[in-house]
Amino acid sequence: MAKITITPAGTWNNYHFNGPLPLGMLLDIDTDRTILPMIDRFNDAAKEIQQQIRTALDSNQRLRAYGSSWSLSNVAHEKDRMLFNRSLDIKLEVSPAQLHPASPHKAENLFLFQCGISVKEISEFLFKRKKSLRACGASNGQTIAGAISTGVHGSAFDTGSIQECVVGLQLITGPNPSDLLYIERSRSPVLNDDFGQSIQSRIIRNDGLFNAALVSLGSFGIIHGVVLQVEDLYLLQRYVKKIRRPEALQIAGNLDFSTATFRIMEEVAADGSVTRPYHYKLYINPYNPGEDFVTEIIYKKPYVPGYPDPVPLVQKSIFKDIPVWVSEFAAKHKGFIPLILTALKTEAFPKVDDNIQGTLGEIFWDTSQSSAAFGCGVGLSITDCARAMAIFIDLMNTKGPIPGILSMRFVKGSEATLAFTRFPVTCILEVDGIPWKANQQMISLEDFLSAVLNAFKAANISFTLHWGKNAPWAFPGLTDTMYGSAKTDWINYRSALLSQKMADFFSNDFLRTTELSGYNTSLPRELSVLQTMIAGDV
Amino acid sequence: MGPILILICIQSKNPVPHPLTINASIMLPQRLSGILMLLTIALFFQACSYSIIISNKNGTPQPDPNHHEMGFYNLKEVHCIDTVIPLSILQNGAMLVANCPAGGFHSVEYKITFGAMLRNTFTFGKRRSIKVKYTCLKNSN
Repeated sequence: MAKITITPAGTWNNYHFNGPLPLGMLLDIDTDRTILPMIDRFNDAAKEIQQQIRTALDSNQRLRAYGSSWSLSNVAHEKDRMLFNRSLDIKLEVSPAQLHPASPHKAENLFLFQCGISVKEISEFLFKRKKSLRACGASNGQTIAGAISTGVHGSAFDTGSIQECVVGLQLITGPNPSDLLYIERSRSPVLNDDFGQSIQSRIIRNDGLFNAALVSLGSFGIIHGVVLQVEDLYLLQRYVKKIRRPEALQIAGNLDFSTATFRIMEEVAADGSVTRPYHYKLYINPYNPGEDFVTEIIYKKPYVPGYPDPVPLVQKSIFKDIPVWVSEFAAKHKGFIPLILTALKTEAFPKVDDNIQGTLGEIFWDTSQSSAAFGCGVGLSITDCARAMAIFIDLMNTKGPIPGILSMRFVKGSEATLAFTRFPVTCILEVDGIPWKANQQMISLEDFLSAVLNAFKAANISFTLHWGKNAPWAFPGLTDTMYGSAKTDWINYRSALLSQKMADFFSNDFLRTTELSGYNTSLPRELSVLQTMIAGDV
Repeated sequence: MGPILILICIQSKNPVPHPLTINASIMLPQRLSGILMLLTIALFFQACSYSIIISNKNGTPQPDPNHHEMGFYNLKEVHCIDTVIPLSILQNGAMLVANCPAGGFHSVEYKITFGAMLRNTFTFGKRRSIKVKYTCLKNSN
């Protein structure tokens, strides 16, 4: 049987020290390493999680699973009991016999991963099979369940976020055997009933439910297994260039590289046509309006071994730990913030003309940052990104300055109901920096970000917010403003999936603050049928 | 390093007298000079101590949800070795055997201190101080 180590924790903190937050009990789960075959070990872990759900229910407490505690928001936190799942890292191949007859996928490109495996571990596992994830975030420490639940993204504007690679989810929605569900999209089924039986789960195929559960903020039950669609191993060629502001923003507004005046000569064909990049990112110093943008442009290439190891250069260009004293100094003497940021620019931005090649797992390697940090990501339509950036920079200079730098990334839209990458191509305007204590001289991060949201609303700019980052989550009507009817859809599908008791069990402060913890007892007919089916009454 | 050593020599020519015997009017400058001397010595020893982390490019460290520490070791299971190994006349090298369940180290940090260097020098290499922090590769399924 899987093993549980209990720590009466007292407090809990995330990776970036945005806490501490109160916690009653920390449960560290590990698989039973004596169990073979691996699928039995996988199923045994699911049973143990169900046992922990039962125990928590019996104690009238809630339980929330978490992995790398990477999120800067409190989305992963629950004050009663938290289940640390980093040891749940089973990896299973899918056999051709497990494919659904209508599956468009090859079995060799499908893998079942247990919830606690990290993006780095997945990349290394796939590399040995000459395969790769299609996208990842800027770093690799998140667990797969955490990454998809909060919508972790890179800047792959024709590919999308990590959750776009997910084709199946195993959910644990309660303590009973019938509470193990495997869900897929109905219009593109992937795995057959044999697969469902192998993981002791009932199969539910429903597009709306799958899309709602994809970015679930940890509240559609515990995600135990994730089926990912991967692709053949490839290389990424990364260029770092300085681009004049107007040109960089013109590209940002339409992502049309074919007509852009800026060109990377190595990526121009003999006939003058240009290769379309895989990734485009702008680094922006908000306190120097005349400065050109340091720009990271990445192209996808066939995998050829023997390239120089890119990791030493990648390591140099990752946003570094910034000492706490810098933050304290900045809070007391905010006039120095622009100077400090300019001085730290060479540390925070990649070095121009440091061009490297590597796999996805190498280019987006470990982050070394593990001190206090803040980050906020605002999702926008690319047609609004230049206007939104001007507003953001103006507020940073008039309300601030605040100790953060800006960047822009671009991600293909997601089908997930609550994906913050919900525009056809979403521009994510990000501010990252060192947290500070507000005082009479210095605005708080919360107030500053609220001012940004108010300014966007006044300018009629639609926006979303990265679920795993800092934001004024109690901003009035926030999720209605961001998602409109999609919010109702999401709550309805959650109500169809979970009983009212279990919906409350899987709610936390974050869900309540964002007004997403609601439950609909009178569902539309279509969802009522789905609810009945899930409940096992038909 | 040169200016620091010179500063130490200057300070050592003016030893701080016993507190009970000094005149109040000269107490402040003498205390100040004592503090400066201590700071200088502390700075000197600080400069003599350093550590280096060697980390594996591949693999993931064994996590520890209860280990919160700003920096590299945050949420990692950390093992520390802080000991002195006496060597016999016939031994010319020190070795410690550590056990990582998954079969490999993820990182090793070796710390050199001024005291360890002095110990090694004055014992002709027969007492070796070892200050090592290491993390193991994760014991994956």
